[in-house]
Amino acid sequence: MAPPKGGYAPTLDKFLDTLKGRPLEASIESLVSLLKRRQIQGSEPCALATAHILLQVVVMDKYTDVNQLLARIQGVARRLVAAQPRELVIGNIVRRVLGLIRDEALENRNEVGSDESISSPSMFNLLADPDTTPPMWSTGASPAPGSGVSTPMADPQSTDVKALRSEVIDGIEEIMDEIRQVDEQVQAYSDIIIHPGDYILVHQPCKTVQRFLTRSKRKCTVFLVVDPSAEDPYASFRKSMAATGSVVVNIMNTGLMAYMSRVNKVILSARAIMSTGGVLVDGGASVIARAARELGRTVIVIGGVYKLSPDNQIDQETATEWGNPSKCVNYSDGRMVRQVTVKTAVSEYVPAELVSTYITNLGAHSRDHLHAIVNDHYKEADSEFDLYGTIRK
Amino acid sequence: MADVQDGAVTRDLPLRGSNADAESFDIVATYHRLLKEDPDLTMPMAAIEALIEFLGHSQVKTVYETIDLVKTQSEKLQAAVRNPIALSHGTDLFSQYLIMSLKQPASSSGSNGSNNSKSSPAPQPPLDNPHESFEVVRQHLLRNSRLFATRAKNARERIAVNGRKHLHDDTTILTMGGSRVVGNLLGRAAQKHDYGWYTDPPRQFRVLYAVDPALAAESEAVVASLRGQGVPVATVPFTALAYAMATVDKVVVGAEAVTANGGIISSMGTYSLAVLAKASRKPFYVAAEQHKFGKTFPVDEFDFSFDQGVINFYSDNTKEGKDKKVTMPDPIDFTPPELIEAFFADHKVLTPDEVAKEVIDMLM
Repeated sequence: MAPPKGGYAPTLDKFLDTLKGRPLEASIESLVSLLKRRQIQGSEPCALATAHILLQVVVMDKYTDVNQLLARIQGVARRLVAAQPRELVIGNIVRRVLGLIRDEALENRNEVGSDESISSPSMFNLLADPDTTPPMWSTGASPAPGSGVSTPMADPQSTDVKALRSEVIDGIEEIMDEIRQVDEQVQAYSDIIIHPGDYILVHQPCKTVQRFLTRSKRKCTVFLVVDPSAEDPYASFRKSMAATGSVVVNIMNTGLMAYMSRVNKVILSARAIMSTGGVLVDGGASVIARAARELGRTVIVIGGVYKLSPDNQIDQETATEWGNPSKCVNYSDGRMVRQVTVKTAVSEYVPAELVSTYITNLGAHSRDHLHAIVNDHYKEADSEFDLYGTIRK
Repeated sequence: MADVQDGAVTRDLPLRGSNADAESFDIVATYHRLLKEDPDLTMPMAAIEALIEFLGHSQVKTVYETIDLVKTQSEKLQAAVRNPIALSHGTDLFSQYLIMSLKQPASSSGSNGSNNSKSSPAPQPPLDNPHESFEVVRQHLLRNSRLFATRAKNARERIAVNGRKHLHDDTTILTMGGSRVVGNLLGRAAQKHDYGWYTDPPRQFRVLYAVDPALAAESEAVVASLRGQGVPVATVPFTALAYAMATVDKVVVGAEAVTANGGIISSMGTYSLAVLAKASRKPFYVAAEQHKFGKTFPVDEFDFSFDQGVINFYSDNTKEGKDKKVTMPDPIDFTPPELIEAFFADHKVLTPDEVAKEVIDMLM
C-alpha cells in the first residue's frame, strides 16, 4: 500500500486532526513531545498549535472561576515553553490568551470603559494608597517580587464562567485568524518596499516573505540564498516570480559579499522579534545582515505581529540553537564523525542595530516603536510572567 | 508617628494663610537628617519623605495653596544642595502625584494605574468637594510615608529579579562606583531564586570591578560583600578599563538619576566607561529604580545648572595653590542614551526610548 500523502511523520495538521477524539491531557502530552522532537517547528505552526491546545484547555477543562483558568493555562504553557524554549511565539500566544481572559473577566463584570487598563501610570505606584491597590504592592514581601506568579484577578467569583468560556473561545479563534491572515496583510505593503528594477536579497524566505515578493507585480531581481544541501522547496515561488518577469538567482552563502554590492534591499524572515529590536532568524541570516550593514544596504525584517515578543533577555548566545549537522558531514565519514565536533546553527540572533525597518501586519515600524506595539498587545502582568527560564545557560 | 499627630492638631486651628509652622520647618535639615538616618535611602526618596514631613507640619487646607507651598519648599531644597538633579526628580514626582490625585475622582485617587483598583473591596463614596478629596490624599500620604521608603527599598529586590535574567553563566560583568542597586543585583544573582514554579539556580559569573579612588570606601564594601557570597571579583584601577575591556561580556552600572531622554546622571567616570563599552561593542546596562526617572534633559556634559569646578586652567604655577576653584565633592557626568543598551528598573527591563516615553507620559 502506498504511504499516505505527506508521509507518516506527524505534522501540525495531523496533530490538529487528533485533537478532537483525545482526552486533554493526552493532547498536551502529544504536543509537548512533538515540539521536543521539532516535528512541529517554525513560528506559524507553533503559534497555531499553541492556540489550539489552549482552546482545548478552555473548552474541555473544568474550572469554577477565572483564577483557576489562568493558573491552568499557565501550567500548560510552562510545559510547552520548556519543550521548545527558543520558539518565543509559544510564549507570545500564551500571553495573548492570558490577557484575553483577564479582559473578558473584567468585561463580564460590566466594568468596561475604565481607561486605567490602557495607560498604567506605574511611576505613581510608589506613592499609591495601599488600601486601594492590589496586595502585591503593599509590602513587596509576598509573593516574592517578580516571582513569575502572575497577579491573580481580585474577586474572581463574580464572573459568569459560562459566558467567560464562550467569549474566550471566540477570542482565541480571533487570534488564530490573525495568525492565518498575516501573509495577506503583510503583502499589502509590498508595493511600498519593492520598486521596479530592485535587486533584493532574501534568505530562505518563509511563506510570508515569498508571498510578499510575488504580490508585487513589479519586475525585480531576487537573489535567493538557500541551503545548498537541502532539497529546494522554492519551485512554485520561482514560477510565480517568473510569471511577473522577475529574475530569481540562487546564490551560495560564500559568494554573498560579491553580490552584496548589487543588492538594494535585504529581506529577512523573522522567527521572533524582541521589543528591543533584536531578531531571531534562521541560521545563516545573521551574517547576511552584517554584510548588508557593512555596505550600508537596507535590511528589512518581515513577520507577523504575533512574533513580536515582550521577552528581551535573549542575546547572541542564548538565541543560537544548534541542530543536526548531518548535512555538513556524512556519517559514513568515520574519521570526521569520531574526531571532529561539527556544529550547525538552526537559529541565530540579529542585533537591533543591523536592522533598518520591521514590517508586520500592522505596517512598517521603526525600532523605537516596537515597545509601544508590545505594550498594546500584552498586559504588564503577563509580560512579567517568565516563561523563558529553562534554556538559560 | 509624631509628625502625623502634629498635623492632626494643627489642622484644628481655623487660621488660614498663616504658615508659621511651615515657615519654621527646615526642609533642608530634614532632608539631610533623613539621608543620614537611613543610609539606604536614595536622594529622590529622601526628598519625597522630607516633603511629606513638611505636609505634616503645614496647616494649609486649600489645595492650590498646598501645591504652591510644596513647590516653594522643593525650590528651597534644590537651592540648598549643589547638585539638585536627583532630588529634583523626587520632588517632581511628588508634586505630579499631588496634581494627578486631584484630577482623579477621590475613589481612585490613591490607586492610579493599578489594574485591579476597580475591584477594590470597599470603594470610597465619591467626594465632590475637591478640598475634601484632597484631604483624603493628604491623610494617605502622611499615614504611609514609611511604606513608601520600604517600597523604594524593595524596588532593589525587584531590580535584582529583573536583572538576573540578563546575567548568564560563565560571563564576566564589569561594574564601577559604589552603587547599592548593582551590588544587590550581582549578589542576588549569585544566589538561587525561587520563582514559585521554578527555582533558578545561582549564576556562576565573575565580576571585574573598576575602582575609583574617590569612591574607594563604597567600592570596597560592595567588593567585600560579593566575595563573601562566593563571587570571584577582580579589582582594576580606572586607568586599566580599556585594557581590560576585551575580557568583559557585559557592563552594569548604577545611576544617580535617569534623564528624560533616556540617559543617566551618574558618578564621574560612567560616561568614559560607556564610551569604552560602545567602542568594544559590549552591552552597557543601567540598574536604576523607577523613582529616579525625571524631567532633567541635558544635551551635553556642561548643560547643568551648577558648575562642578572640574576643569580649571592656570598658566601660573604659584597662583594655583591660592585661589584654585574647588571641585565638587561628588562629581557627576551625563551618559547619553545612545550608549545604553537597556535599563533594569523595578517594574520591567526597558530601552532608553521606553524610559523617555514613560517620563513624557507621567511627568510632562
